[in-house]
Amino acid sequence: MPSQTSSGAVIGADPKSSKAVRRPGADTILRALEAAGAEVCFGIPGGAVLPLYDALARGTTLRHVLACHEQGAGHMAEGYARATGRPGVVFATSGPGATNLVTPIANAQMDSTPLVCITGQVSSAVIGSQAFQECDIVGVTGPLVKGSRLVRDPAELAGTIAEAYRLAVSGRPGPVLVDVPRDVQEALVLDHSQAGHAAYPDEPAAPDDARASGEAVRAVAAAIEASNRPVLYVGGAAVAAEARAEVEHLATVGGLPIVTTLMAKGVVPESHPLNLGCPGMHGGKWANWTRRPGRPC
Amino acid sequence: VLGDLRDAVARTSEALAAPADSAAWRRQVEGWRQRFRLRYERGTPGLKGPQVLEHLAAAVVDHET
Repeated sequence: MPSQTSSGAVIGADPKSSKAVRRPGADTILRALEAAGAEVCFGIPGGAVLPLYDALARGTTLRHVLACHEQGAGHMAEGYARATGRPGVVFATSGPGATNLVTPIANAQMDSTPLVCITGQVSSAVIGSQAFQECDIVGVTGPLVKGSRLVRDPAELAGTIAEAYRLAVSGRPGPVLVDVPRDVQEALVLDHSQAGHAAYPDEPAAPDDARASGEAVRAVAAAIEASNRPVLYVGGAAVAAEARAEVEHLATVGGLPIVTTLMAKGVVPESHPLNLGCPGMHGGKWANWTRRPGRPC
Repeated sequence: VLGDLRDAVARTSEALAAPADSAAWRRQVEGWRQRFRLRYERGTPGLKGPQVLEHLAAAVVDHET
């Protein structure tokens, strides 16, 4: 008979190896997050994530921050991500708990904020039966996330979580959702199992070379030199890339007025003589007219 | 341009042989800014938000943050 340790591990459960260690899927989720570098998670317990919260209680290096509502947990995770540059990890239960995450997920998509959302799902056997607090959260969030997966095979948990963490920060950062049925959280998984993961086919291909080509850079420089009504329109990626000094230098040496998106607000001081602020409904006419035909002469 | 933004922006600055001929354009934009700058009606009863912020800013202008 296998014996269960205080950390939830089951020793000797694999007939192929007396040294094999099996853990509940929920523990595997936490180990995968820890291995990926996560230190903090936000969330609220609920019926479909109780195995995950039991795993938290058994022991983890993750610091859990309890919220009063899943939406708040999601926004807290967003704030954490924006402050640290690391993915914000958030837990929510199935059904209403998961749908309460939709607003922070949508916000994270708009703001390019890396989030890893782990939602509980009703047990595999009753998926599709309109079970208590069942919701197709993978379907609901499909247009909002970089990738989302319902994990049906416990052996895919570790790889799927690791891939979700990586996907959240790769390229343009954004939210990723992993939906885990309760029975998958409870299933015993070989601790060393990295047996693949559910693919994220919507993941954009990474560029072969992370450095812009010299030809492209020279073309931009030539376009600036040839322009007599230039505007440097700066987005949030400049903040994420910590390129404040480079942007200000380019504007100065290029003689370029700057307008910024809301996400890039503050990339150069608002008092900078070249900074025209944000265009759009909250911006001044002067900022909007730099970008539009029909402006006054 | 596809690549690391910080690197690409820095290299674009280096690649510039001369700044854009934008002096007239910047004067025009500055003219718009002066003509349509955000303002509020002064001299009416009560305090207005911008008025309070202006006074607070003036009060702490010499203070280090």
